Amino acid sequence: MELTLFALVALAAVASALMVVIGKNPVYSVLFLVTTFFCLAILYVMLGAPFVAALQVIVYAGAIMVLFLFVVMLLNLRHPQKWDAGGSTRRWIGFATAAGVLLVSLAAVKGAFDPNAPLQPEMGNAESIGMALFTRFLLPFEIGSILLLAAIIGVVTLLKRDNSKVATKGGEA
Amino acid sequence: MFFNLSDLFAIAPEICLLVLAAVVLKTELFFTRKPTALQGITMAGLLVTMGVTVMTASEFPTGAFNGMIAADGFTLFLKVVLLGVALLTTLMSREYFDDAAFRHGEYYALLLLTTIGMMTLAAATDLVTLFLGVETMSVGLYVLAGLRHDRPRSSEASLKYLLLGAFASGFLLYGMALLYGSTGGKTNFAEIAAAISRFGDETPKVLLAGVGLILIGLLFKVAAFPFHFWSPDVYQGSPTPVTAFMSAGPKAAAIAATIRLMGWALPDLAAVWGPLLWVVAALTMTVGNIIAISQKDIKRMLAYSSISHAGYLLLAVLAAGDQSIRDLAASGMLFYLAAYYLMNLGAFAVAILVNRARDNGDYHLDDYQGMAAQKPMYALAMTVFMISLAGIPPTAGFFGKLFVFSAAIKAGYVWLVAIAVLNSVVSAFYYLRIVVLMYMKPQTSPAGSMRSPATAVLIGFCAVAIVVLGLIPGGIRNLANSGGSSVAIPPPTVAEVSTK
Amino acid sequence: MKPTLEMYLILSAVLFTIGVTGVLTRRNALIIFMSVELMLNAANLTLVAYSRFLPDISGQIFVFFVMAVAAAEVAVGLAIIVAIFRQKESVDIDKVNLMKW
Repeated sequence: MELTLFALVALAAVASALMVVIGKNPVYSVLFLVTTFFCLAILYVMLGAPFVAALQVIVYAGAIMVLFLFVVMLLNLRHPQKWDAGGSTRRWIGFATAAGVLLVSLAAVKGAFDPNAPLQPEMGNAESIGMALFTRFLLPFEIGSILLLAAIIGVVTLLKRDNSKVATKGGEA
Repeated sequence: MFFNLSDLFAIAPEICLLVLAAVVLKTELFFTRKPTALQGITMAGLLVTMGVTVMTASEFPTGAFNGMIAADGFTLFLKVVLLGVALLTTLMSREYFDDAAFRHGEYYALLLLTTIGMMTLAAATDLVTLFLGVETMSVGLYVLAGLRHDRPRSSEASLKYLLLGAFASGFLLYGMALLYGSTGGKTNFAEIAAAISRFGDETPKVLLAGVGLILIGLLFKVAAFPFHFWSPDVYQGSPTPVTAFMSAGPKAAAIAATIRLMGWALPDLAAVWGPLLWVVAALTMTVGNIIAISQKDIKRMLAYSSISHAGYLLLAVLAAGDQSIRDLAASGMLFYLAAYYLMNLGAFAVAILVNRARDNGDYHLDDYQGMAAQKPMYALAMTVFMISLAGIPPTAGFFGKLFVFSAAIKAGYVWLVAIAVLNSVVSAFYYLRIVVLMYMKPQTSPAGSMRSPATAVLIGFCAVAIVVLGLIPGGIRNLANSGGSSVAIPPPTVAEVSTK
Repeated sequence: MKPTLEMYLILSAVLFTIGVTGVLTRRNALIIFMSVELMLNAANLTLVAYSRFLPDISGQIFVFFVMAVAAAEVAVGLAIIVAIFRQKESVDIDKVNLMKW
């Protein structure tokens, strides 16, 4: 039963991930990526990590991908290209590298040790995560906030247009 | 108790920098947008932070925050070096960013937050902190590289750095995930080492794959062959002070993190990553040097030169794989980094100055022709930087190489050191070419006029420091030694302490 | 029967590879960036799977941090892509390059 569900979800995840990569239109890619993220959220629930699953839906699928969708719409790209033509050398190098990565990682995880310790049902809930987050992982939590601060300042700096100096745009070109 | 006063002391420099970044931002917002004022505040704050760093340093090497970061001499030395990088970058920034619309406050704030990321990376003793340090540093750098909206090259540098950097982060993270799983859920370096030693001779394949992927991620940040290809374009496109910052700070932090990760977490696998790094180090220095010879742009030339220096630094990482040599290798690396940032930042400051005369965004080598006649002092300083980069005595660069190479010889890497010495000879060719241009060729272009006296202070300071370090390296060498010895053996882990 | 650890790891290896393929073969900066997100998510799946089977909570905490990092990286990355688009009217990495890729 659970195995069937896993197979279905895994298949959906791989299929939609493939669609992200080969899709013509970035909008479709975004939507398929959201699908992949939902599939992963289901897997997280099956893995006894409901908190992470909720974060996956709220933060990843909800916030991050909406940002993506917003930018894709904003840019309104005209020329959708299917599996971009040109640069065939680069493409083949890409395929070769990817095949190498797949082979290595599959060979590595094959027969990975499976301790199969008894599941502790309370492990993946908000309480246990919170306890770990604010005790052992207190410092990384604070560094995470610095990272987000840097990102906020960075985005503002990058995209703010100065009204006074628009005319000098393209000084070097 | 989740943390105590000594934990807070361990992150006192980071706290200071965070406060400083906030102060700079608020000052720009509410009080003054004068570049000089903002620069002054940043510099004063950085000096105070340096003082705080030295004062709060713990005498005994310890871990802090449940083994998330280390508070030892190694970290202390690196933090002071990284603060020095930030300080010198601040000093040269006024000379470069002269656009009235440029927001200096945000720039300095980003510089400081990136420095926090580098410090975290240098101090990290846990995979989680390592990852967050790498990312905090990188996110800041992506933005800094693209600060010149008016120059397409700058935006392109930032896009390129972003896409390839994020790609490398993916590898790093996947490697960490495999390492975490295959060691039975350990993220702390020392605990990982303990878990690995329990495997004995039967190392699981997942573990090896994880280590390989992590190495890819870290070598990318260090810009080692074959993951170096981003750096010349990114260095060339970024604003020059940012390039100077990038070439010294992140490289130092990433190589320090590598040495600690390899030495503390993966010493038992030295037989696996050793040969790998051997090849990478040899190719990194050779490729960097050979391509540097053909460069016509000083920023690209310095980019390739910094790739080759990454190769020399990997020698230290290799030597540190041997537990008995680790203190020597680490102290050699610390000295090298201290010397390297002085000469590199000095060279970039001169490059900004020379480029001011042209103002077309190109940093052509020919601009240095006949510089000695018009600006003898700067030509002299540049000569010092180039001699030091080439590793010729009596300069700091010579002793940096000497300490690293001698540690590597003790660890038995004689052939690799031979390759490194040959490379140093080759590199002397393109470094000294600039000296020849400055002194032996007739002048073709007007020399730049300086805008900010801070630049002269910077260039003078770097040149004098390099010569002083080259004549009497003893003081810094001792500090580096105590830093190196603190990284030789990891302090007891949380679990070990609690069982006592 | 329940899915084993190995199945989860194989799934995440496949997803990771798809992400790598996307980064290396596409030219649209947005799609490359989405492929990177796919790689990060594959790594997350590995972490959560190990976290369940070991069992050990820190894998899930790691995922929490990865999400924070991804949020920051995406915000900055999209800002950079928008900045490039303003200059070039394109997000094609081949067209965008003055410098060699």
